[in-house]
Formats: sequence, C-alpha cells, structure tokens
Amino acid sequence: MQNPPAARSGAISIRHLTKIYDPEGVNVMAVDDCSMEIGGGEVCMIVGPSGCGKTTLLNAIAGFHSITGGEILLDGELLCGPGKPIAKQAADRIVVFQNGALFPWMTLADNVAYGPIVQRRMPKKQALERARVMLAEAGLGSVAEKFPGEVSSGMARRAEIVRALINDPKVLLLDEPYRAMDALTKSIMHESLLEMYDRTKVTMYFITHDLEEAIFLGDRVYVMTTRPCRVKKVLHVNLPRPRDYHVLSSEQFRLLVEETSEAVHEEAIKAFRAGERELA
Amino acid sequence: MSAIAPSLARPTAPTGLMMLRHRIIKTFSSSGPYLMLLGIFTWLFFYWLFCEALSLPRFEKLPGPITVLSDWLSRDPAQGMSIFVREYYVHIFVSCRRILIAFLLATAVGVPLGLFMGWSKVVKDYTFPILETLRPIPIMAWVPLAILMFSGYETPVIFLATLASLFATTLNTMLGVQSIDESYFRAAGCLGSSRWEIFRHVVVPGALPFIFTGLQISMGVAWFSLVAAEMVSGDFGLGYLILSSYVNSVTVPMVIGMLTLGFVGWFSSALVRLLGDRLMQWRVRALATQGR
Amino acid sequence: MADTISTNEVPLAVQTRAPAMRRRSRLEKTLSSPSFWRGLSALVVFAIVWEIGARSKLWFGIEVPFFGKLPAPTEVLGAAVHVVDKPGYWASWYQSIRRVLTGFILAQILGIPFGLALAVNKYFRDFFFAPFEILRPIPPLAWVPAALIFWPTNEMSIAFVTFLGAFFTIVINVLGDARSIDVRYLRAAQSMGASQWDLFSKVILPGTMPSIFTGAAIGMGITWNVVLAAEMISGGGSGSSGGLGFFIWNSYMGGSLEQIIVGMISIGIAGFLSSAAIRKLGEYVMPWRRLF
Repeated sequence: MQNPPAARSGAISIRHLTKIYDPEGVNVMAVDDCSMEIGGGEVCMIVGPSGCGKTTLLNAIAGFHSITGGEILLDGELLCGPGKPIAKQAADRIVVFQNGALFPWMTLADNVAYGPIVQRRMPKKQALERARVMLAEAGLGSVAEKFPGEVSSGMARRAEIVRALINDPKVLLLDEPYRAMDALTKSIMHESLLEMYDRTKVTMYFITHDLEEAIFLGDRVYVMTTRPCRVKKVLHVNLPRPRDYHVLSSEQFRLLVEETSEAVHEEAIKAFRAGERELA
Repeated sequence: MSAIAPSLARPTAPTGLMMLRHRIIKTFSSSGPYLMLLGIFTWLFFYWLFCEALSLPRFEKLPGPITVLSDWLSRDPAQGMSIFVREYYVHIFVSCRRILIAFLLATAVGVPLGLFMGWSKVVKDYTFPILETLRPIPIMAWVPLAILMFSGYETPVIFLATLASLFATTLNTMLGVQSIDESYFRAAGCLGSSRWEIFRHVVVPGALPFIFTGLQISMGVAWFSLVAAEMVSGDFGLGYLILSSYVNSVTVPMVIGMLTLGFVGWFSSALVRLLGDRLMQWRVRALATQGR
Repeated sequence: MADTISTNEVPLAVQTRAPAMRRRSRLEKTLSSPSFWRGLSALVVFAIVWEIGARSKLWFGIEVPFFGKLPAPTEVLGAAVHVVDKPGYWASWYQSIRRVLTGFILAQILGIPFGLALAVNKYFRDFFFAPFEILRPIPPLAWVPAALIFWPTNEMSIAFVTFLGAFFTIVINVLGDARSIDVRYLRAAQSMGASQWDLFSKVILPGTMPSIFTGAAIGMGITWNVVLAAEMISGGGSGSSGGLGFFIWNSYMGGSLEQIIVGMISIGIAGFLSSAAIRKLGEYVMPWRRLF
C-alpha cells in the first residue's frame, strides 16, 4: 500500500496505541487504546489537559520512546508496532520542542543548515545559502548570524520551524511550541506558521492547551481525555485557507470554539481533580 | 525612525570605543574602584605596621612589605632572590613546566574519558565505581606511593599534579555531558544525525561550559598538589623555593615565592578562562544580551 | 539516549489493562540492575590486575612498570588486619580528624559570615575583595613555612593553614551563590513586608545553603590534603602519634609498603566519611532539596 513517490503526503495512522510506563516498579498507563487517522498535508491539533499523554503520542511517532501495544503507520509503512517497539528516528518526522531546542552553540543559519549538512544532502556552502534564504523568507534575515541566546524567543521558535522545514519532512511534530509566549508574540507566530504551511503543505501534529489556537490553525482538532489518553471528540474545522487574524472574530470561529469548549473543560476539571503533576 | 525632530541625529549602534569610554567613566564615577584601592592600601598598611614599623612580637619575624619589595626589585638582593636573579626564573620555569605537563596530560585523558562516561551508560558503569573509590583518597596520601613507583624527582611531582587534575577534569566533564538537555539530543536525532555526529555536534559543545569550569578547578588543584609535592620532595620549583628559604632562614625569598606563586596561579586560571570565552562565543554573547 | 525508562517494560504481548505491580525494595533494584554488576566486575578486575601486577615479579620473573613495585592487595589486607589491632593506629585517626575539624570549623565560622557580608554589602565587598582575591591564589601549603615562623607551636600553624584552605573556598562559594539568588525571591519577600533582617535570614541565608554545603564539601577535601601534607612536612608534631599523614610517611620511611597502602585506604575512608557527614547534614538542614 505505497503512496506514489511524488506525493510527500505524510499520512499517519495510529491504531489501538497503548503505552505503559514503569517508573519505580508501579505501572502507569499513559495511553490506552488510542486510534486516530491523520491525513497527508493535514494540520492536526491535539488538545487536552496537562499530563494526559499527548506528548507520549508525539514521542511515539518521533521515535523517542517505545510503545507497548498497537501500531503506528506512516504512509502505509509501519513505523512501530508488534515486533518493532520503537520507531527509527529519521528526518521525515521532525520535532519542534516546547522550550526550544536550537543548538545554543551555533548561529541560526548554522542551526538551519544542520539537517541538510548532516544528512549529506547538500554541501556546506549550499546548505548555508539555502538556510539564509529560508530564514529571510521567515523574516529572520537580519539575525541569521546571531546565536539563539541573542534573539527573542519568538525569533528562535520561528528559526526552529525553518530548521525543520528545510529538510522537507513528511510530518512536523510540534509540542506546545508557543506555550511560553505572550499573546502578542503568539499571534505573530500563528501568522508565520500559517504562511509557512501554505507554502509547504506539510502534515502537522500540533499539541496545544489553547483551544482557540487549535481551531485557528488546524484542519482537525482532537480533544483528548485525561490519563489514560483516548480520543474524546473530533472537530472538523471548515474555515477556508488561507486564514488570517480576521477569522478570529468571525461567527463561524466562535461557533466552533463553543462546540468544543465544553468537552475540553470537562476533561480539564477531571485532570485538576486528579491532581495531575505535569508529565512535561 | 523618529519623525519628531529631524535635527536629532539618527541613532546609531554604539561603537566599541564609545562603549569602553562610557564604561570607564561609569566605573570611576562610582565609589567602587576607590574603595578597592583603599582596601588594598589599608591591608598593605597594616602588614607594614605590624611587621616593620611596630615590630610586634611574632610579626617581626616575618618580612614586611618594604623589606620584601626592596629585595625583590633590587639588583643585589640581601637575601639572594629578586627579579634580577637568574635562579628566580629557573624556579618559576620549572614549576610552570610541571604544571603544563600535568595539566595537558590530565586534560588529554580526562576530557575524552569524561565525555565517554557521560555519553555512554555502559562506559560509566565500568569506570565510575573505580574513579569514585580512588577519589576520596586525598592527593597527599599518594605521595609516598608516587615516590616509590616513579624514580627521580620530576615524575612523582608531575604524577601527583596530574592525578589531582584528572579527577576534577573527568568528573566535571561527565557532569557537563549529563547536564545537556535531552531535547538537544532528540532534535539532532530527528534531523538525521548519526551517533558520531551527535557526539561531535551536541555532546562536545554542550559540555563545554562545564568542561571549562572543570579545567579552571583542575588548574587550581594542580597548583595545590604541585606545591605540596615540591615541598615534600623536590628540587627547584616555587614550592621548593619556599620551603628551602624557610629551612635556610631567609624569609624574604619565602615571601617572594608565595607572592609569585599566587600570581602565576591566578594567571594560569585566567588563561584557561579566556580560552573558554574564546571557544564559547555563543555564551559570552548571550550573557551580554541579558545584561551581565 | 533514546529510551530512558527502566528496562523492565511490560512486553507487547501483555494485556492492555495494567495491573499495579508491587514496589520493589531498594536491594532488589540494586541487585537486578546491570549497572551494579558492571561496576562490581570492574572493581574485581581492577583488584585482580593489581594482584597479578604486584606479584608478577615473583611468578613470572618480569616486573610490570608501575604495579610491579606495589604490594599485592592480599598483602595489604594482611597488613591491615595486623595494624588495626594497634592503638597507635587509631590514635593517628584521632589526631588527624582533630586537626581537620579544628581548621575546618573555624573556617566555616569565620568564612560564612564573611562571604555573606561580601555578597550583601557593596561597600564591604569593594573594600575587602581585592586583598582577598590577591591572597586566594596562593596555595594553602605555600603558607606552611610562614605559619611555622609565626605561630609558636606546630599545632597552631597546622590549624592556621587548614583554616586558610577551607576559608578561601567557603567564601568564594558563598559569594558566588548569594549574588545569584533570584531577585524575584527578594522582591516577593519585600512586597510581603519583610525587614532587612528577615530578608537576610529567610531568603538569602536559605538560598545560599546549597553553596555553603558545596563549599564545605570542597573545603573538606582541601583540608584533608593540607593536614596530611603538614603532617608529612612538619614531622607529625608533638606527642606520640602524629596523625595519619605521619603514619604514612613513617611507613614509607620504614620501608613497609603494605602499611602505606593501608594508610591510604584509611585516609580515603576518613575523607569519604567526612564528606558523607557533610552531605547528611546538608540533607537535614535543607529538606526541600530532597525533592531533586
């Protein structure tokens, strides 16, 4: 069941996924029989209370942790499943981390060029050229030669996304990337991300707490239950693309938020009562 | 761009020279440097007062600042040691050479070892217990053994300094690797790096801050051990100078030796720190941006 | 670095409902971890290599470079059993520990307030820091001859030098940490109506505790080295037994190699116990740190 090689579709199929941790000899079930289908080129938003296991799913797809049961397929090929508990890390699924993981010891340009250089896809000079071009496209042309410690977090996060996109990945995995930002910076980040998406149409698996962010950016929103993680509700976002901030005040948007917020709130209360410690 | 007053010069980024001038003015307009000079002066004053002017009971046996300085800087020193005496530089050179060998050896072994220990749990499992068993033994306890195992004067002394340095360097390097945020490893992995590339591009630069802290500590520890070893069994070297001056009851070279030792020790640590700053440009610039 | 969860994961074939397993005891966990066995095997191999190397001259006729001159572990054990009987041995322990504690505790009593004062008060710091920093790089042992001249008894000079070593360390550690206390804690306390004294005792002091204990631990290591060196240099001081340093030096002079190693191991144990004591005290004083 192979997709035609021309399509970089990046469709993910998660089937009956289960993950059990074993800290200190007491089993903790993080994910319980979770299934979802993410279409190629789709922006899939995962919303849920803290510590419910959303990051576990991301870790499983990215190949950071193993799984205990079920399987995950990428474009029909098995990433991990019975007999292959952990997915191999490869540059087709790239992660953008919560607290940012740009290498502090390299400039932004070097960071972005890192992927192509290390995968031997481009010679160093060419990779750096391409990196500078892409950074400029994202509005970071003037800071390309600075270190991550010297630029604002907004710039750093954008650069990290560029670092991922330069490798033409099938899937972009984002773990609450804008969590630590103020609302003004966030809105710029959103527009930047939408713009990058419109250009590349890369599949995105985006974890967030923020329901409005989810509906603004996403094609489909999955509301997850508290631990153990299962899909509680799926919302299809029919807002047309390209989107801009005017969407936020539209009637359709408000309705979508209303439809989903009750489900999210229910789970949030459950999580709060359970006194979940952040599974950060 | 300001649209208010066109006559106002367009703001430009401050040049290095302007910043320097600004900083100098700022420093001298505060009480800082004056108090500092006062502190040094007061200390020297009391030193002189107790040892020379008043000649208090036990203080008089120690040479005061004027005695020391007059000998140190004279062409014909009363007690035989000054900056014009060739022997002085021989002592300095011998000690520094030993330190250099010990330090380089300890770094060449300790840094790679520490990197591998932090990087691979298996390596750590095999090597850490041995290290931790030997580490509590103070370096001085090794002196007789070192004299036994190695012949001559040089090798035991260098061995002791190297051993002391080695523990500090290895441990700090290992901690440095362990302190690297997991996310960097994962990011490098999902960008398609091989294990070796992760080692080169994440482990080594990531551990560098800790490595240099460790190197500064190791430099200090090396001097400490060297001086002790030179005193116990040595010929030439600043530690030996201090002890032999004491034995021969010439106290001025003793103090000269101490002060020289302090200066050279400080200078070598400063060199290491400077080297670290050069290699870790990103850190210096990030800290500067945060206003430190 | 990929999967850092324990290796005891429930295999894929097992049911999805996870039964809670009983908590395993610490002993079970230690015995079942591969790290433990690797470490143990490394130590055993080390001991075996040492034994063979030490005896190689006897057995094979070739002398291995360094290990060849050492006594074998079995011989060392024999000597240990023999020496533990003698009261002189335990008297040495007492002497060394006494010296270590005297200098060390004095250094803490004077050093912690001094360091805090330097950190808290700008004028104090400007005045005192320069002389302090100039004297600090001088290795403590370089002070031994000067101390011997100055102080009437050997004991007092040893105490002075041990004091110096630990003093500089604790001050530098306290200073570094106190200055980097997150200013938000101070502001939060101030906004809740804390007085200057409150700020000091309830925010700065507890905030500096970790570095006080780090400084103490490092200072302890330095103190042991200084005591040992002083004992070796100054011939052990008055009295019938001169401490563990003297014990080792004596064993060396008397040609009893096994005893040297027994001495080394004893000192190692003593040093380890002192560090452990500091660590335990730290855990008691800082219960909030146990969460990490």
